[in-house]
Amino acid sequence: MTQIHIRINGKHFVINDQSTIQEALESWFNNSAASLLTPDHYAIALNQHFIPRTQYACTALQAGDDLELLAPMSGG
Amino acid sequence: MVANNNDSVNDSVNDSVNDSVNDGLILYDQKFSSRLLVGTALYPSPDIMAQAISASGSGMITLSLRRQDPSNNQGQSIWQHIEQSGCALLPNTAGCHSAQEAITLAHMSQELFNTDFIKLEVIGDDYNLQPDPFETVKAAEILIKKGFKVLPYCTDDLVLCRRLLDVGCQVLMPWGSPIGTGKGLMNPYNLYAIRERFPTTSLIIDAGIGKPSQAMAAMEMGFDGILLNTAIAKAHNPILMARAFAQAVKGGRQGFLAGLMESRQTASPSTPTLGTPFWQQA
Repeated sequence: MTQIHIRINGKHFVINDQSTIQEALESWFNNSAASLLTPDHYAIALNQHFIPRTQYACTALQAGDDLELLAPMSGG
Repeated sequence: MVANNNDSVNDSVNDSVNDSVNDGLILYDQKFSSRLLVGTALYPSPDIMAQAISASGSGMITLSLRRQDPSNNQGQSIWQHIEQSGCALLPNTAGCHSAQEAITLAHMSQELFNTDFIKLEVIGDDYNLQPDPFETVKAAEILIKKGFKVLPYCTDDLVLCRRLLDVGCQVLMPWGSPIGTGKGLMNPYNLYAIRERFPTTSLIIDAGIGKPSQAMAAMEMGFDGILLNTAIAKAHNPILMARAFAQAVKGGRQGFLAGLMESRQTASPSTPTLGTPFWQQA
């Protein structure tokens, strides 16, 4: 299967072509030391536009896409 | 019975006392018993943060969104403490430099924190973290139309404040001075002007407050609330400082409600002069 390059939180990541956000996230979490977080612990922006949770499984990614995965943090 | 002068004075005093008891901070359709809002950053530890929030008595706390690093669960630890505080959440858009960035972050916060409140922060200059007035108004207008309850962090510019009200903001948060400086109320004239021009708008001093006395001064001027972070988090004893700010904000508010005396150039004796002893001996 063809693979494409995207960025997740500014770092290059390789996924299968036609992968959805859901599939890319599962692959990303599986490649990290941490266990998979549930979606209520983060929110997603694709190319600087908000993507609701309900659309993770139906939004296909393209080469060069920029995914931001943000989580709660302290703030002033 | 005709009310005499004393009855009138007593009624006025009782009204002020009742105002003080029933007093609350109105943010859009919600009322908060505390007029102090605190941030959750820069504390020595999540545990001290939690104790300081509790000591502040605050009903609303600010927080942010940052990139998730799966190998570091520090954010999750802080999030657990924040959830346990029971406070309403006020997510911010800190770090955004354009309206589009702020709007995206607001939507992400809305989903994650399940709140329509957003502290709108669009920075225009990294030297003093001064908010960008043009992008702030642009973002506020769009977010208000989408149903957000926008609390815009802004400068003490009267016309900017008017523009933010024009696009539907019901709360304004002018700075006292730049974020993290602790310089207090840098421009009291401008702040008085904003207070006087918008007497019914909820006005919160956000940023720059370094001492409890500065928070009290703002409340005595008639501001409706104080939002701060660094002054508590960076104190030697954040928990004690949180308590100090809570008392200062409450005291300043009660002073405002009670009505401050007018200052004078010349001295005026407070002790009655009638019957002064030794009057003829000088």
